[in-house]
Amino acid sequence: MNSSEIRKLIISSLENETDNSIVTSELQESLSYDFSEGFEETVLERIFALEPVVKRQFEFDRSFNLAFYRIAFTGAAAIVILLISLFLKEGSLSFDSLLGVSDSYSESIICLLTGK
Amino acid sequence: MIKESYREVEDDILVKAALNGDKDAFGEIVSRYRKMVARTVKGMLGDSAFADDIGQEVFIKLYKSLPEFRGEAKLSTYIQKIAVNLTLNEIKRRKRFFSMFLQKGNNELHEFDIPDNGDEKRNDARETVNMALMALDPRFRIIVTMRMLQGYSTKETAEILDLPLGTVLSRLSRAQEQLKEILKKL
Repeated sequence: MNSSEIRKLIISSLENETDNSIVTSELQESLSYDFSEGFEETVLERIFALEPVVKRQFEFDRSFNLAFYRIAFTGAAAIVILLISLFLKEGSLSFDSLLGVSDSYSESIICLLTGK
Repeated sequence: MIKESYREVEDDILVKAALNGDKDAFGEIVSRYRKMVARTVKGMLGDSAFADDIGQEVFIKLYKSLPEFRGEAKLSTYIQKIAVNLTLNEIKRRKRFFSMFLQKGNNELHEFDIPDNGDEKRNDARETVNMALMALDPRFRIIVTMRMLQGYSTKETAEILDLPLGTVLSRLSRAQEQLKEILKKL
């Protein structure tokens, strides 16, 4: 397909005279866009040269994710154990028992805080 | 060069093999999608050596981001998004370069104007299409590239470009008008 035929084809598709899929397949066939010879080899060579760096990055990401999950799981487990022990000791999970002042009378706390 | 056994293999298997360091599997991915990437990159940047560099960057970025590919979208869509992003970044970089070193009267981006040499017969179809595309505003050029050169539907184009469907439709309509004018002048 030469230049003027391509032009006519595109214009006819823009004026809705030709189906878009026909234009696409004609354009793909006529224009045959591609990269230069040896493109794949160049890409693979560049990746191969980068591979140690990329692999280190993969491994770092994987280790970081693993470490994050371990820390998060340990933290959550510690909080649960703390709450259970608090419940067993104080008999409730109220705000006062969390602060450790559930056994104190309010007057004695004021006295303790103000010194009067 | 690339293992024949990979020719018929599906994309997700190739991705898994590439993640395990199989170079041939990644080579098959490059071989399978190089023309698709070339259409996007060359449609947007023109037929230049820069386009080859951007094409290489697309596949290098794909390799680096393979662990993040979860297979929710098709591999072709994922590659297309990378190609579009890198190409638009290159256009922005050029725009910055031009605005830094060249004083232009208007703010519209037209890196390539249509040459006024009517006496010179241009019978190369690719050159004609490239000239017409380069004369379009990049926002419209990407839509035309996706719809006309790649054959994506408007919905697929919106998904790849991360744009609302309405925006794609309105840009497509304006792009078609501009393209028609440009082609009639060529």
